[in-house]
Amino acid sequence: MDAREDQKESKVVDCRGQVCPMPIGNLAMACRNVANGGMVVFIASDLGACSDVKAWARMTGNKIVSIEEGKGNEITVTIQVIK
Amino acid sequence: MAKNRLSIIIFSGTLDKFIPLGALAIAGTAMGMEVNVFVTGFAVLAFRKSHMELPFPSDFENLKDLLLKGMEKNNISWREMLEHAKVLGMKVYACSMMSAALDLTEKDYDPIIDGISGAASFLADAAGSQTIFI
Repeated sequence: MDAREDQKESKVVDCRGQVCPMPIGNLAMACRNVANGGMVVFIASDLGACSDVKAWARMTGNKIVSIEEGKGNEITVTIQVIK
Repeated sequence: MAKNRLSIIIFSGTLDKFIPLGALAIAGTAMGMEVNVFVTGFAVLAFRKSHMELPFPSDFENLKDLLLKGMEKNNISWREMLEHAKVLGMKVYACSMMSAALDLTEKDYDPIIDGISGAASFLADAAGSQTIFI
């Protein structure tokens, strides 16, 4: 990712409180409007969200840049959209 | 890369079975899979324009309230899940034989149904895909 890309704002997909399969469904919906290389920050609290987002990235070819664990079951995942 | 594909046959017409249908349809479409649903058996009744209250399996009748309250808390219904999957590209076809048996034509079905189709078409579409029977 070059510096110009880095400066672009990330799209935040806040799925806290949603249960499976909605976080992944909403993440996929949000990524449809993101250009190749764009960044998405996905926040979720569903117990399956961490393994689901990894499976989603593996299946769709999108790239997980980082996963941070927060309070409770909350995770914040930075994703680079690959199209 | 060839698209991964998921084929689902929804046969049961009871409410509890529509929840995994919705969840798998969303998960599949979200993961970029081509999702193709074949609706047959009494499940076709759930897709009529006149949304009926779906029956609950008698074996689990005492757990019905628990499930309904739980889904209310989850703030999502099976129909909303299917509508979401639909936006992500899911296709849904009603079985032509069950449609004929229950006197249903395309105009009787909710717009979520893409059309009426036969078993041979479903099997041709499902060839080589992951297939799930509910």
